[in-house]
Amino acid sequence: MTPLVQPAWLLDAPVGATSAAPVDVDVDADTDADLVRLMAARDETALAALYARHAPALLGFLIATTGNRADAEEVLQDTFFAAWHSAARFRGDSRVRTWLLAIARRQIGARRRRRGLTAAPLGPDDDWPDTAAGPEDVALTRAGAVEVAAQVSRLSDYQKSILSLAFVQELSYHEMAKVLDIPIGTVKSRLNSARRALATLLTRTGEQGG
Amino acid sequence: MMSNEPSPRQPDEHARLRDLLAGYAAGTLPARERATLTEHLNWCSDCVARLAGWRAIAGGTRTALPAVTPSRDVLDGIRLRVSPSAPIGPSVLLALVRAQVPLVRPQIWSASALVLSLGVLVTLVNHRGGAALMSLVAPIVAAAGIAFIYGPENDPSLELALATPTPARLVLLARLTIVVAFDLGVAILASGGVVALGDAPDGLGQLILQWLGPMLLLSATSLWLSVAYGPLPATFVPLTLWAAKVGIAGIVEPLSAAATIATTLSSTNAVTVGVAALIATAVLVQVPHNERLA
Repeated sequence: MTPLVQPAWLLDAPVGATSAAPVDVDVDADTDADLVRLMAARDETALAALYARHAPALLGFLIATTGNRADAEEVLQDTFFAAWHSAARFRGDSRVRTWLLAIARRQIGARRRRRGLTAAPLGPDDDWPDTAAGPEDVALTRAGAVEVAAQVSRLSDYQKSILSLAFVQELSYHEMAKVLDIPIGTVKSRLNSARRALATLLTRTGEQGG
Repeated sequence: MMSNEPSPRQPDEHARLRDLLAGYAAGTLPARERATLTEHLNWCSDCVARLAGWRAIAGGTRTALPAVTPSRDVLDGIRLRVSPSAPIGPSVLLALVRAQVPLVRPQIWSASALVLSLGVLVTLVNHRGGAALMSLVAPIVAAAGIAFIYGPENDPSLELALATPTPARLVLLARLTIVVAFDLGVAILASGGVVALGDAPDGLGQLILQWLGPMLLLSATSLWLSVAYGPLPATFVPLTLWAAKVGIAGIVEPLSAAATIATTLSSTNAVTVGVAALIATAVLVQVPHNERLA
């Protein structure tokens, strides 16, 4: 392998990059897993490439979860630092994005413990069974995209984080359970909780507006 | 034909599939479950309505919580942490200097600017005396500012800063650069003002040379005392030395040794600049081993 072609840290994440953005890093690695293996061998170019591919999406999740960009960027830094050191233990059982998100979630927990916060970092495991479709679902389907997005922003951080994992990070239920270290049933319950809260917000907004 | 009620034979299956609708809307279900749910949606109006709700949530979430490009500082910070011994580029240094600006006591900026502007004010009011005042106050004002740039007494966040991989001497160097550059800039501007008002017949260059050497020497002395003993000695010792220099000039024989030393140290020459550089270098080398700071 000849991975090093230019100074690793001259490489920027492309502006507006998303998870699918092409990476302008000429490393001999086609997949994320290859990059992690190179990173385990202390190849900083691989770290830069992995950062370019995943940092924007991770930061979106972290902002949703922590509630502010400054904290999110600090956790993002902690996440890639931890990934650098644990790359040798990556077995390839999951997607690299899932692995990074799990590290990010642990870093949030560690950060909260350092600050003396003992509450569950990503919300309670309330049982929120899905129920029959009702007026709240009508509110959801009738609302415009802009209105729904506005109400998503008003959800709690833990509700936004589960929605981010499901619809922005596009993780499966199994992957979400792995990232959050909770049972799949709890993942579904949290999604239902977020849906119910969102529908309630939309219903109230509709009542106030109407 | 759709029905609002699931088949009595399949209530558990309906509940199971209903719990998968979020994944269906996200497009993350495995092919087999997706096919089963697609078939289920052909007859279950309850799930069709619910799926529309999940699709609205999916769209709203993607709009409200998009991917965000991190600031460049994040990448630089990771670089410093994974390879602290790697060469540090200009962008990293720039980011470091920028990060130190809010950590420098704000009084340093205002006090330096205010006192250094006095030279211009005196010239404006009195038509003379501004150049002499500039030469007198510029060195000691700069030294007093340097006394407060670093150390546990001056920076509540120092403990955190020292826990990061950024070398302590780099942090000190960054702050030194900011404050010295600011003092130099303001002093040069003020000197320019004094010259423009006609109070410095020898010109701007000569006026700057009157205060530059002493400013660097006293600032370096203040830096050493601040790092070694704290801000109070770093303020009063240079002040005392400077006052002594002014006093000596008035009471000793012009050609005596004391007068020669005082004259040498109160102008810009190889001795003042060289000694200042030596002291500053020694401080930067010593900082990582300083028990008060490391």
